[in-house]
Amino acid sequence: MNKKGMPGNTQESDYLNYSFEDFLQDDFFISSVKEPSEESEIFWTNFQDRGPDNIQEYVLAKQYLQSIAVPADPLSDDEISHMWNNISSHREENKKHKRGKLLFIAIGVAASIAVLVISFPFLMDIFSHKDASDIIAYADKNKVEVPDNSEIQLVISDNKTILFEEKEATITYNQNEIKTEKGVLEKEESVTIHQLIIPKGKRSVLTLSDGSKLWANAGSRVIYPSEFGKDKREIYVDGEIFVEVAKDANKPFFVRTKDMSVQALGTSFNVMAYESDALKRVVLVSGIVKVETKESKGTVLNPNTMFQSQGGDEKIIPVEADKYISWIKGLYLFRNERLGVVFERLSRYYGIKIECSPEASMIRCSGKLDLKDNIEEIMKGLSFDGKIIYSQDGNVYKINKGQ
Amino acid sequence: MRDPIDNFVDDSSLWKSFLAGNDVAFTHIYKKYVQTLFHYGMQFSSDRELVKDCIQDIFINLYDNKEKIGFTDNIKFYLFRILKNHLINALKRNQTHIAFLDSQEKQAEAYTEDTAETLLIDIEVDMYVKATVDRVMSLLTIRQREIIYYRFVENMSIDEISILTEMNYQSVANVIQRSLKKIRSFCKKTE
Repeated sequence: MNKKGMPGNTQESDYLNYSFEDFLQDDFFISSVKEPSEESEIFWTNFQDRGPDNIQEYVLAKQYLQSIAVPADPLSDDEISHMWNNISSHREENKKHKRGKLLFIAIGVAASIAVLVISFPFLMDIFSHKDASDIIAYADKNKVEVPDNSEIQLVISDNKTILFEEKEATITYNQNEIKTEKGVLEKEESVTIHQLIIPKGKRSVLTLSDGSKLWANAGSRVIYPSEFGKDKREIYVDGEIFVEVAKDANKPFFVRTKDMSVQALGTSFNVMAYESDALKRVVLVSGIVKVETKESKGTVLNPNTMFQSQGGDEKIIPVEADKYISWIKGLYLFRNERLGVVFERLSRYYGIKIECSPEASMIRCSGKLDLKDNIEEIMKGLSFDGKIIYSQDGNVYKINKGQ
Repeated sequence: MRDPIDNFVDDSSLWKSFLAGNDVAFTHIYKKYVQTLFHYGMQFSSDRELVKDCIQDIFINLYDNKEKIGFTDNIKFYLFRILKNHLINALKRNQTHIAFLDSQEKQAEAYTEDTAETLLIDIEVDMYVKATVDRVMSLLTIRQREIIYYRFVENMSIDEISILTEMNYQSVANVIQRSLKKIRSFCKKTE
């Protein structure tokens, strides 16, 4: 028996003998009452016009179905907010008794509901390959390998690239221009895709045309349009960035990487996704983001939470977000991190080759390094307790386990 | 109006997020389900204040005990289950019997059709029928009310109900049959 259309096996004449219970166990009757269509209306009008004996049964069944479907007196908006006040005031009380929990921004009920309505106009499916955006295609086509410690490059078009000699370049986009330490550049009329290439040993601070501010770490490339489109803001990252997304209720902000997509609005978070590295991380500082990968459709993160993917193995770990973004201030904080990972980061940051033996790379340690120090001082600092020994062979530093 | 965040998260992500301590997720779960929970709760008691209190209680408990709560990919039915248990316990504690809804005047508007046949039944009988429908709910067992709710309000098929309640197909069909008989025979008696 099909639900929507005409009754399948039941003849019109059968309905003439139906009781109250029979009607209410008939799919066609039920769907006619709940979701009437032109055909069903005609059918039942004909039925009633015949003046059947069981008309009372029919009417009772219909009325029963209609009356049960909707609560007689649904909750009023006042009642809903009043109940919520009771729930959240209890919650606030309890918070004082609990030990240091997650950082979050406490907002009243009305405000939080307003935030939900205004701040999350997610309209699109974010990870469909048919939606292969220009950004991702451009990223693929224009992948460039640059020598360590070479100049930072801002590629504006096929025949225009700006070079920066500084260790850290600061670039700001606004409506019409691009401001750098070298001066002011006029933006082109039409929207074009730009690529910022940061070799190992260098870093940059980039402000995009919507006001979002982005710190890019060594060995990264960031690809973005000179002006964002109407309905979304999208950038591509191969490397590591920390971004403070400017609030724009109408345009969700996407950070695309090779295997991951991070969607955010008015938040600040760190994405570490070097294409050459199997370890990927997203750390949320504030706000809310959704991470999508081939393995998982949508992981929502809370502040001070890290999403980590190691070659397809995904984990969500509570962290102190500050530690993961200390690099933007020129500090490297790590806690119980394997030395292999630490040296990998230092190698990128300083743009020098560091080879770490397998035994040494497994050693875990915690520390706080000032990245303004030169690499010699860093090496001395890390090896002072004898756990590891460093030596230099030409341009390469070699790390071995101590003793 | 459909809340935009519904496009953003599915039930498992929303629930996971709440369990991890995300207050925005918690607020959203409340906002999304409070009205439905109320409607469901009113199947088991016509005491409005009691149902509201129970809803508040379950949200407070959820929040306080989120570390111990398990995973779900269907928040609505999870909430239904804990509300029902909470409500039944409260009813037992108070030894409240189901109150009868007095004001039928308001409910006259429940009948929407203007086919010729509805006019055959005058207003008095309308309200009378409505009154008996409410009263007869008190004749149904908890199990019967629950299944009637799933069948006629949630519009679940018998298969779906049998999965949810962990009863076999025939048992569910029987419950529906028996419930409908009770409802109808009650109406007959009062004709």
